[in-house]
Amino acid sequence: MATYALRRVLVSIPVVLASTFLVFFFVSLTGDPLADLRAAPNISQAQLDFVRESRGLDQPTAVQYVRWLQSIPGDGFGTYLRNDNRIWPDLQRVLGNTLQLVIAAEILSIIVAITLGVVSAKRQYSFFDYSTTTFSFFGFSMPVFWFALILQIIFVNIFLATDVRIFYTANLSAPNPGTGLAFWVDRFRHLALPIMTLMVISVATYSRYMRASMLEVIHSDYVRTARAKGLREGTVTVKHAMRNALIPVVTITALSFGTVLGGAIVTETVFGLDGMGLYFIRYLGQRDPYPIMAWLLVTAVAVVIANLVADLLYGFLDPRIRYD
Amino acid sequence: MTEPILSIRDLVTEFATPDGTVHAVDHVSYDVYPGETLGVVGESGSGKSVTVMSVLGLIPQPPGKISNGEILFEGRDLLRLSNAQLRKVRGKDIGMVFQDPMTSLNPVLKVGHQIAEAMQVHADVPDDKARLRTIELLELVGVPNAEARYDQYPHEYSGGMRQRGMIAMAIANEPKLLIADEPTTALDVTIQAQVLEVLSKAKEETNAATILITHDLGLIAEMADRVVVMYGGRVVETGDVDTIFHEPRHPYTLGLISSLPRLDQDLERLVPIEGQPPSLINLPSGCAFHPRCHLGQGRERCRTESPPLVEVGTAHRSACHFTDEMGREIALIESEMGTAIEGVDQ
Repeated sequence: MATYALRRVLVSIPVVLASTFLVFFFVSLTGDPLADLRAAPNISQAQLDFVRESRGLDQPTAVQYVRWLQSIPGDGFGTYLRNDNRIWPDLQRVLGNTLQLVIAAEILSIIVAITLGVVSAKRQYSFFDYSTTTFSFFGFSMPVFWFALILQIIFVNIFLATDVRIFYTANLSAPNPGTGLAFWVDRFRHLALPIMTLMVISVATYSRYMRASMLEVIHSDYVRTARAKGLREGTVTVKHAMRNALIPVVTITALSFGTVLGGAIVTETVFGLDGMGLYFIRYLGQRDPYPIMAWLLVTAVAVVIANLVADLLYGFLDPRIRYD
Repeated sequence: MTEPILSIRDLVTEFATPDGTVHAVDHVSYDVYPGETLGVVGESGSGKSVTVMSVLGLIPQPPGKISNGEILFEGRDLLRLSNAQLRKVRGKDIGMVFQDPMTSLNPVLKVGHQIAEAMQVHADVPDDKARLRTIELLELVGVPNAEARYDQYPHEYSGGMRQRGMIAMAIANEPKLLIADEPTTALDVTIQAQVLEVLSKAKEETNAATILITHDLGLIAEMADRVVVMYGGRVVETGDVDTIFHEPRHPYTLGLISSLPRLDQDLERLVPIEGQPPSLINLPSGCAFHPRCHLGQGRERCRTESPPLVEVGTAHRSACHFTDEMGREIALIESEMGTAIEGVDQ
């Protein structure tokens, strides 16, 4: 197992490198990073030339890429193109914020989706099952930004009507969030709506997978064997059926976890959350390659780790899978 | 005679399908006596498995439905028990070995654990005791190196080994009735013999009455004391194993026996049963076997009147309108086959 994990990590290094190269190349294709600076009236040609040379922007893209790569070990991710602020502290902050949002949303989604999936499968074609199916199709079809806005409207109206603020509709924290427990309560009240927004689509997806997987398993011979032993229906469902049905679902959730770590761009934008997605969009708009590359590297590593975790979990849940 | 341990009375099990209702079990009655081995034979779809699944309450409902009859086990009607009461019978008083050992064990749980679980669900056995007892059981059913095998997963077992594991699981609580549903069908011929030996041994050990479901008449001849022949969801003939093989009183039974390949006699040819097994949605009118029956020859009575199961000898019953013509029929088949039906069971 350890050997396998190590081998997988080593194999992912070229994958991450290749993805950084591709993205670096494509970002530099999007145009001149200095275009905005050039349009600014109070910046001289000498200043522009200085930035271009010091950053190596006059060099071919491949050379720029190698320069960027070499700078990582000693210089972290360096500074922004337009000022001397360092990228890494900002990235750490937004990563931390996105992690809070995504971990909470994923864990809740998994719990809700597995429950819905199992119950729907056990009561196939019941009213409950049809309701869940309908909900799932709504979840899939609903534009995220629309749902987020509707949530904001609802909670703003509740506040206006009753003067009771249940959840905040924007930002990560109040201006003075306090410390300790008060801070986390405040954080939760800010994150609740973004979490709900993210959950809608995750629950819709995962519960469909769980239902399908569970349906396959509950009609299998070994579940009948478990019943023939005289086990309680609950034990049959949880121990004999669910454990098998979880195998494909775990893979899907672990993979999607890596992907959403890049940031839920729409959700973070609507709620004004200082997270990975908003960070990426901001610097993409500014055509600053350095924060984008730093963001990409973090995201790519997250995806690789999530893949690895998915595979290891797979082996843990299914004894037929062996890693040696 | 002693009281039967299991008595199935007038059982009707149906399945609702988009094409119509499947009459899988159609007014079936038979008894199982303590200590005996009852062989149930029939083609695929004759209702032999569905009958025993109904006994254990393992029919998925819906689409299945038990719409008539009673299943008396030690005097209690299993169909009237609550789920909790029925659960106490399953695996404890009635053990079951399923057809396909490749899919009947849970792939993600250790085999030993699955056997121990069967014990622990019915009695308060501590883990270490359950483990020891499981290892004993595995040794009894001939799993070599049982200690190490306890901690292996089903995919590390061969097909024959898995079926041994299933048998160990079925007898873990020393059941009074053991149901083996085509226990050897999915196995290699060489392994079949070994598994049958294990099954006999398990039966000796527990002295359980056994229902052996199979379409293999050779197996019936070797293992069974009494035989129930099923066709189209109905019982068509029952009797002692010798009687059934020597003096079959139903043309379907005769058809089964004469289509059996023989190693010990120089047969000119086998006599197949013409036609297809009946559709359980639209059973033929009258006697379900009449479209394929050599004896009936499309007689009016066969087409219109369903024959009741009547006494034709000592503990021998047959559901045929023309049982008295069976002697001539046997002679006819014998002349066609160029050999005697006698001695099939040797």
